Amino acid sequence: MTTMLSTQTDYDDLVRDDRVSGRVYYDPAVFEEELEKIWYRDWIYVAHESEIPEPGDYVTRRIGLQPVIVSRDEDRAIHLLLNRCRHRGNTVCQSERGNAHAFRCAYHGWTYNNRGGLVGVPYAAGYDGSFSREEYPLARVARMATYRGLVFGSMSASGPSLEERLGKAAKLIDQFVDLSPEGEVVLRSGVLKHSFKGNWKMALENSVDGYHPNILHHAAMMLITKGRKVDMESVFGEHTDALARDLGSGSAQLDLTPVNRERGGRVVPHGWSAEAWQQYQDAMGRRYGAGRASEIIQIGGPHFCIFPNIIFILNQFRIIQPVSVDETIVYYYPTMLKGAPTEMNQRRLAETYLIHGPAGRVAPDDFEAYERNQEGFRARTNEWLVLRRGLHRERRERAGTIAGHETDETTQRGIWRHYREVMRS
Amino acid sequence: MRSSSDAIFQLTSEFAAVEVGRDVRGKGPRLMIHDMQSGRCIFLDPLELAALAWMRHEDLLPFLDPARRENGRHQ
Repeated sequence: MTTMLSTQTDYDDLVRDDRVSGRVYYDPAVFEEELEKIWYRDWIYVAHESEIPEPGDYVTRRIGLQPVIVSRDEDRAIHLLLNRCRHRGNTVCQSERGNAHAFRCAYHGWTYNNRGGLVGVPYAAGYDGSFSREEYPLARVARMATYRGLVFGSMSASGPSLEERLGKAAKLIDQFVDLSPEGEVVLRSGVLKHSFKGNWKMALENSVDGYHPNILHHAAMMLITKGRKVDMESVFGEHTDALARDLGSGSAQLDLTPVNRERGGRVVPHGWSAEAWQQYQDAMGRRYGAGRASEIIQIGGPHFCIFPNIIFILNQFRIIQPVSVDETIVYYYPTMLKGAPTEMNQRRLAETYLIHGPAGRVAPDDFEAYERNQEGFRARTNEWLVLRRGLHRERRERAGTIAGHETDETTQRGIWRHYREVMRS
Repeated sequence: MRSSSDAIFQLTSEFAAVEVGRDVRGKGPRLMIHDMQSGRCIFLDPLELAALAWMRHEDLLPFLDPARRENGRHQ
């Protein structure tokens, strides 16, 4: 007789207040548990409404590892369906995007409308009278909700609403979207896809790590600021006024507002013409009034992440897609500001591929760092990752958030606190 | 049977591939639709096309039932 050893993971042991064990990045059992407790329970960002503007449009995505279809029907309603034929389980859509009012499984031809209803099956006489199409629609993701055009799905039928879950991050989404003179961002300018051999949580943590930019991206910073009166030390250095903020629920922010205000809304000069800039300011003024428009522009775009899979930095949405415990894809979607001058949106697009493309100045550094991280975890003596930076100087703010110096690990600690709470539940 | 249309273009998705063109061999113009998978072809006159323009996509769903191919109308 053999005795099964308990394989239950003690997350209080692995995730401490000032450090985490490397095991949370490489243990397949932890990854499997994350799928159940995070990816199949929480609200997960899946797409933006502007990606499927026309009736019949669809995109295929994943929630965790589960394939889903985001479709728009002829009444313009959005549906979030599982991409799995009800017959024998094939994915019915293979393309990443397309336009179709019906999906036909290539295996045996079962055909569904884009609301998920089963339209018909070949050789129907092979099914007896008790067979009903109504019993075999494509399954739906349990809950779907949108906020400012962002579409989220949850595999769990119960739990907090999306707005409850977004919490303080909702206002930062507003800040991002309100930069549009029409109050909408548009994601129809392609996507950069970066795959790396490392755990998904690295991309989330790194997105709000204010300690590394001037070090890992030093060469990029020199290139970006070359010939410009920009001192990156005052943005990501020791003497910056910017903050690292734990927003709660695993969301976190690098608050560059003080720096942005000093610099007219942008850390780095934007590079568009004075004429385009004036057009933009006028359009913003028409929508919000001159005072409010000026405030929105001065504050600039926010830099933050929402646990577990969406990041807002500069002009982009970044989406984290786990593949396995040690493989991840990060999608960089440049966003266009609806109603902004074309020149301005072209610059936003260029900024995305120049800085974050495969030969860009910043993103390749990050992916190299993630892979070195994963490699380093093979060394199993003293497995702790130290996250104590700034623990002594962070403070709770009146809003209930926790703020530290921008280079401090307040943001990582916030992410891990939430992670521990979710994983031990 | 494909038509000698004066302007043919292809439309493809992951579910089907068709050639569409304006056919002028009859006494009046028609729209030719050629299903590249089965080789079947249909010619639709302007009145039929106008009728299609009044349809909702859900009205077309019965035609997408794969069983229709088995009942002889499409053979």
